[in-house]
Parts: sequence; structure tokens; C-alpha cells
Amino acid sequence: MRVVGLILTIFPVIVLAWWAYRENYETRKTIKQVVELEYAIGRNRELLGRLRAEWAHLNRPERLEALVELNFTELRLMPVTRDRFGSAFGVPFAFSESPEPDIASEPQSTDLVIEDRTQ
Amino acid sequence: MNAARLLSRVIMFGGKQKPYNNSVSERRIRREIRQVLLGLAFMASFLVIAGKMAVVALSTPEEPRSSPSVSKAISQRADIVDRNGLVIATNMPTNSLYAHPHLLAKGGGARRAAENLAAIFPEIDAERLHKDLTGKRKFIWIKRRISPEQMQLVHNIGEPELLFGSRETRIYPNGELAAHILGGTIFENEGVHSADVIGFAGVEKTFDSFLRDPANNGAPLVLSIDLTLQFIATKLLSDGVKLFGAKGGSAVLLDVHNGQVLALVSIPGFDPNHNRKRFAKGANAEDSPDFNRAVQGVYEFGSVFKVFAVAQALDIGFVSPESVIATTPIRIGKFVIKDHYGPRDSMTVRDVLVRSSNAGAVRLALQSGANRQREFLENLGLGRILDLEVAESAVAKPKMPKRWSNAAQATVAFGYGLSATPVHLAAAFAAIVNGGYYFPPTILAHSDGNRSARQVISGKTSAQMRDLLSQVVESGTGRAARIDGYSIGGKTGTADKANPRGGYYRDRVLSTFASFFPASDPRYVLVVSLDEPSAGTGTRTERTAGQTAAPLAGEMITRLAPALGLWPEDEEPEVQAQLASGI
Repeated sequence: MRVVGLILTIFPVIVLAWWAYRENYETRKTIKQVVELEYAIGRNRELLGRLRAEWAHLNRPERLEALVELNFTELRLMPVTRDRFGSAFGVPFAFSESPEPDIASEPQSTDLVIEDRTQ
Repeated sequence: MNAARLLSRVIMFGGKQKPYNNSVSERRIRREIRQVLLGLAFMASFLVIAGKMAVVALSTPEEPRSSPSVSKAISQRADIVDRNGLVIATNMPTNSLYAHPHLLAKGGGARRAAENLAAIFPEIDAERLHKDLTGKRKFIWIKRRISPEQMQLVHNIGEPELLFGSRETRIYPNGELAAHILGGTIFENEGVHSADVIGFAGVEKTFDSFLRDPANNGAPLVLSIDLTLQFIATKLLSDGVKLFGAKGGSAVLLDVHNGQVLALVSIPGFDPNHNRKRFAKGANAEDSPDFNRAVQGVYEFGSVFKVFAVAQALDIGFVSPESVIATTPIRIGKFVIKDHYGPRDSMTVRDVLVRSSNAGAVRLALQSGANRQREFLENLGLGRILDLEVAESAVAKPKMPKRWSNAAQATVAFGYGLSATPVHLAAAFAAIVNGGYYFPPTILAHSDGNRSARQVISGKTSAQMRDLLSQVVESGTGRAARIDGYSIGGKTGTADKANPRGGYYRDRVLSTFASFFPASDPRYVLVVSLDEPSAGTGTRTERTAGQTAAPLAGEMITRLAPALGLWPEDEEPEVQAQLASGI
């Protein structure tokens, strides 16, 4: 009976010791992973900061204006002035002839567009 | 008893038990066994401890940790962004370059290093560097900040005693744009591997502790500036300064409904990426590109101040815009104040502003009374240091008359004897036209939108002033500011510049045009100032604001208004007609 009692006492101790040992190493491993992740986050944030700075530098208004002037023949971009404002009334409506567009007629209009492109 | 015998007994004891007839010897054997086992257990324990000691002695020491570090790997200094989130100040990891001269390779090592470094960095003098490298010092800085390309070139020299330290450097991707607002940063507490980046001017200085506070977790500082508007204003003002041969100029664009500064320009400018020790001070500070004319410069604005004299007279109510007042020359002490252009014996209050009558403005100011005039101007934020978040604002102390005498009242009425910065003027002008509410100007994009304002004039007076100031542009001194598509109201001011040796210069002026748009429902105020302009037309040199600052302001509004999303006013009737007809 004593032996059984001893076994019943010692066995849980061994199991718990094994569990604590395993948990300890699992924790250390996780901490290491977290530290590595933090380094990676730091590196990525640094990279992100660098990219944002580069983006801001490349998109500075002075450079964009120079590029617009350089590519004027292709882009034809002009400064926004008062005559650049359009009116909503100037936008042609796709279904101006039929006030209630029905879905069935849509493929036809798409065909027309394709036809136009091929001409 | 020898070990073999003992072992055989242990085995026998653990194995099949044989009957013993001698209980004494059995007990002795058991005792011996226990002793042996105990000995083995101790030996095992000692071995474990010895093993652990060996491991501890041989391994690299490491701090035991119960949790990972809480560092979020954020930059040392937060970014600064404009109201749309575009980056205007950020950080870049760079390197510093230093050397340990006493460890440099003997036999020409220092000479070779100095020559190679001088080839990489043109500003380094090879002879001087060689002298430093062969001197007694054991540590010298060669460059505080180098780019990755330069770092690679230094690597290529192959001198192991040229060393690099990491540095987080502040960079301003837009170069000169908004430089005066941002200010700049310098390195402090420099160590080999790090240095503190400290703001020394502009918002970098004002918000230094905010920008460096880790508790903000890298949240950027959001300014009220709009980078596009800032660019347009800078470009056009720069062109205007060149065109009119001015020494410099400033422009302030303000939202009249919350006091937020949308663009703030001072010409000439500088590049904040090149660190400077401190901002311009002293007698000739104004000529330095560092000098922020819009915030730091205190000027007498001349006739622009008539706006305040007329507004106060209308607000008190002793005149209406159509009241006729005397405009004959008026004697105050030993001075006679008279009108320069087309003097008349009398004119309406409307014409006092439209035709910019000195004598009329003086009479209105005198009738308002000294105390009331002073109180009114103070309510408009004039005469005191502005609480703007650009560091230089704190040193721009405006000049106020010491004694509010009749002479002081009279001169202040047409813009002399009381100086202010262009931002002061813009904020006060906004209060006159926005319905009468003074909003302290700010450079921050406040998200609440409910900034406290104080009412300085009634809504009725404000409406009258809008009407009068529109007339100034329609048919008065500000005609040159008139543009197609947008209605503008404003007031010109041509002030003789004060001579530091007393009196005023006769041929040096500050030309200012304070304007608002759209005139019917003002949303923005633009104050343009040119320092010593001269518009040459043949033999005649024109310096008045009506010929210089006003057309420039008009040109600026032509570009700024569409960028602000304002619909051209002359297009509206057509659109409204279409709406009314129900198309």
C-alpha cells in the first residue's frame, strides 16, 4: 500500500516536472521568436519609412511639374484654372434615348463600343 | 567487504529473495546498500551541478527574461505631414564617419585616407584632414552624416580605422517648400552610435517634445498646410519677387472660418536639409534667407490699416457707408495729414476706403476714441505677440504706441506706428470679413473644427465691410487684382519703410495687398507683401501696392481658387439656370 502511495505521489511529480520543463523551453523559444519578429517589424518599419520618404521625394510638386512640362506632348496636362471646371450637364448620358435602361439592351451597347474600337 | 561481493548481494537483494536465517546480517546488508545508493545519488547531484557550472562558465551570459521587450521599433522622431497626409518631414537611417587616428596604418595610411576622403567629399580639405589624422587626438569626427553611396565609397578605401556610427537623420523630401514653417533640426548629445535629433526652429522646435515622445507611438504631427497650395503660392510669389525686383516677399493663405493657415511663404527660401546652427537674428537678419518674413517680420502696413479704422467707425455706428465726412488736410500737433491722390474736401465713408483717404481715416479714428481704438485693435490680435505654433512667432514682438495720443491714433489709422506680422494682418482681416469673429491663427489641422472665436464686430458691419472692400477691387486702388471667374475684395497698403537711423526712406516701400475671396461669401484670406518692389514702366518706377502686390495677389488667386475647389462664379448663373429649368 505504501509503495502504491509512493508511486501515486512520485508519478504526478515527475509528470509535472516534465510539463514545467517543457513549458519553460517553449516559453523561451516563443520569446526568441517574438524578439526576432520585433526585429523584423523594426526593419520593415524602417524600410517603410524609407519608401515613404522616397515616395514623397519623387512626388514633390516641383518634380511633378517638371515632368508634366517634359511630357507635355503626350500628356497635355495643364494647370487647373477656372475654365477647367466641367458641368455635370456636359456629361453625355449613356442611355439618353431610353430614359429607363433595360438590362437586356446592355450587351448591344457593349458590341457597339467594340465595333467602334475596331474601326 | 569488496565491491564484487556487495554488488552480488545487491543483485540478489533486488532479485529473487533467498531465505536468511540471520536477521542481523540482513539488516547490515540493507544498511550498506542504502549507503551505497545514497552515495551514488550524491555523486549524481554533484555531477549535475558541476555540469551546469561548466555550461554557465562556457556559455555567453544572457539576462533571464520573463517577457519579450516592449519596444515597438518606432523612429526616434515622428513624421510631419500636411493636411492631406503628405509627408513633409521624415527620418532616414544614415551613418556618421569617424576615425581613430592613432590606429591608422603606419607608413602613409593617414595620407592615403585623407586624399581618398577628400576625393569623396569635396568640402573636405585633404591637407587639413591629414593634419588631424596625424595629430595627437585619438578620435575625430570626419562627417556627421553620410549617404549610403558615400559609405560604400569610404568602405572601398579599405582603411579599417575609418569607422561608421549609425544616425537617424531628419529629411525634408520637398526641399525648400515650406522650409520656413518646418524650421530644422540639429544633432545633440552625439555619441558614436547615436545622436539626439533636436528641433531648433519652426514647428520642429515648437513641437520638439511632442515629436520625440515615445508615448505617441509614432503618430505624425498634422499641419494645416496644403502642400499643393503651398507650392502654387511659393512659385507665384517667387516669380512676383523677381518680376518686381523686390528684396523679398511673403504670402499667407488663411481659412477665415477657423484660422487655419493653408499656405505660408517667405521668399527667399532655404533648404532645411542642410542643417544650420540657428535662425537669423540681429540687425541684418531680414536679409537672411532663414528669416521668416511672414511670421518673424514685423512691418508697418500703411493703408491696409484703414480697414480697421473704417470697420470700427461703422461698428460703433456713428457713420454709415454713405455718410459724408471731411477729407481736407488735418493738423495733428506738428504734422499735417493729407491725401496723396486726388484730394477732395469731403467724401463718403465708402470712398475713404475705396480711394484710400488718409485724412478721412484719421477723422474716423479720432472720433472712435483712443481707448476704443486700442481695445479694438487688441481684440483683432494686433499689438501683441501672436500665439502661432511656429517658433519664430514668439520673438516677433510688434511695435505699439507707448502713449495712445492723438498723433498715435492718427498714424495708426493709416498704418504707421503699429507694426505687425503678415500673419497678424491675415487673422485680423479674416475677422473683419467672416462675420466678425476673430480666430487665433494656427498651423495645426485641428480635427474638432470648433475653435474658440471671439466676436469683434457685428455681422452687419462685416457685411458692409465686405461690400466696401469689394468696391476697392472693382473700382478703387486694388483694381489690378481683379480677375475673371472669381470675385475678390481687398485693400492695398504701400508703407514707406522705417530708416533705422530715424525717419522713413522715400524710395523704399513695403507693398501689401490683403484680400479675401470669394467676395460674396469669403472663405479664404490671402495677404501678399513685397519688400521694396519697383515695377518699372518706361521712365517711371511704380512702387505702390496697387501696381505690384495687387496684380500678384490676383494672379495667385487665379491659381489658388481652382486648387481650393472653388467653382468659378461667372459659370454659376448658367448652371443655376439649367437647374431651375429642371434639366
